[in-house]
Amino acid sequence: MKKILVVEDNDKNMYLMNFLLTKKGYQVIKAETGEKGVELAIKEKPDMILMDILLPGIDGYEAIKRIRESETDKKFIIVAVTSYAMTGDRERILKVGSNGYIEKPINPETFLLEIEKFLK
Amino acid sequence: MNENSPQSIRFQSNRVTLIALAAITILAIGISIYCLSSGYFIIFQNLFYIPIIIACVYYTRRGFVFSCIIACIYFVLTIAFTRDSVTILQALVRVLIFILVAAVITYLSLTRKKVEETLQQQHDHLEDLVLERTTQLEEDITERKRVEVELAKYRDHLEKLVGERTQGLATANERLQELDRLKSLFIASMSHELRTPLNSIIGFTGILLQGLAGPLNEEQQKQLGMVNSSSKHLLALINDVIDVSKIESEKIDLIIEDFDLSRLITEVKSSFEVAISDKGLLLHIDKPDKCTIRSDERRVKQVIMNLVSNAVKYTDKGATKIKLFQADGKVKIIVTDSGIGIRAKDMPKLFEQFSRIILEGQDIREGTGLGLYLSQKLAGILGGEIRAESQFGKGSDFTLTLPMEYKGV
Repeated sequence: MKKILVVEDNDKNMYLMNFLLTKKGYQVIKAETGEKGVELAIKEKPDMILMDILLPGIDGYEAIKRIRESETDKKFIIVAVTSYAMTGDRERILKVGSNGYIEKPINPETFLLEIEKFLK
Repeated sequence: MNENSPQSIRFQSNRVTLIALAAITILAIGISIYCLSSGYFIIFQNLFYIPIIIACVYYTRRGFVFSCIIACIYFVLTIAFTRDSVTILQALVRVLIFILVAAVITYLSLTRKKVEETLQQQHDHLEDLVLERTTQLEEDITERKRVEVELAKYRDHLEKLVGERTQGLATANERLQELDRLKSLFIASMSHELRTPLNSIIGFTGILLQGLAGPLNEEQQKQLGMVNSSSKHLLALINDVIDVSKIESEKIDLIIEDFDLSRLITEVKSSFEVAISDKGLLLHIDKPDKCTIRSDERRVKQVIMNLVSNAVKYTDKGATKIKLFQADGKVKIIVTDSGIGIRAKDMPKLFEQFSRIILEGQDIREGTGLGLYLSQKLAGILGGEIRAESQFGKGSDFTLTLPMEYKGV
């Protein structure tokens, strides 16, 4: 069973992603802040990290950077989950070390397909 | 004028000169007669000429009469003092010569005086003229100075006004810039705030519609479908508003890279397949297998999606078509529909903000009124443009022209 860490401060979005991912059979680890996300990434070594960008405390960019710095042998798959308004920062998202991004609002019809694509 | 001339004043009013002249004359006559009777040098016998000549020169006619009288007195006195007939004859000849000389001198003096008078007249006339001109010039200068002062006053007033207005405008401009900044900030934060709950609405209705949270009956499916489509419309509206705000505050970020426009059109086609088949329409594609351009893929897609979405939205039967080709170093994408078309009078409003063209007897189509405005602006930002041609009731052609390579605007 693949482990996915979801870093998301909005409880409804968290519920939505958790619902879809568990439905598909993924194991979901939840983090509400960037700091918690970095901590859990190091501890749990998930197969994939879904990272919100606008977060209280350290933002998604900083969290991705810290996770990348902590990497040793295992390379994480990090996907930014960000809203359309932030797509002007697409380059920044990629530059900071994410493998890609999924646009918000999450489309339940395509979300899982996108996740699978990144996991391949 | 003649009597006021300096010369006449000098010789007519100066009695001292007249008395002195008379005294000199009497003295000269005395000496002359004495010299004549006592046989002294002939030069002294003629002394009386001098004052008389002076009188003739200065007093002209009166001087001449005066000289004649003096000559007669001289002659009478000579007769009185001597009985020598030769001397008397000499005196007579002298008196006659003298009268002749006096006449000539008087005549010359008169002529000279006339000339002088004429000259004086001319001089006076000239002086008058100069005076007149000077007065005129002085008046002119005064008038000019007055006008200059007035002009300076106006200028100062205008400068003050301009200064005030400039100041006012600068303040207004600052306020506008601040308002503009606040507006952008407001829209950016509002759009985020608006979108967050929308994420859940779209997400959860999507889950429910997919039956992931349990089976739905037909009515529930239908109603949730409406919720879903309305929330997607609301999302599109918010996205358009954000784009407009970005374009208007010139904060649009472009990501310029090479991409295949042919593949992009295939993607656009596939995202409209459901809508097309729902309406029973056809969508033809006419394009080369590959067409690589350098631009912002996302924005180009947004514009094409908008044009195709309009074509599908306003067409109830028939076919829509997307044609892609290269011409003159540019790419053209023509989106053709067999829809309701646009009246000629509505064409100028087509690319305006919030200009929804309403037709009587037609359903109002769902839209934001921002689509074409945004598309045209985006095309412009990418160095291209959109042109529309339409026949009312028959359909429309929207042509998007883009440069093969984005070079900045």
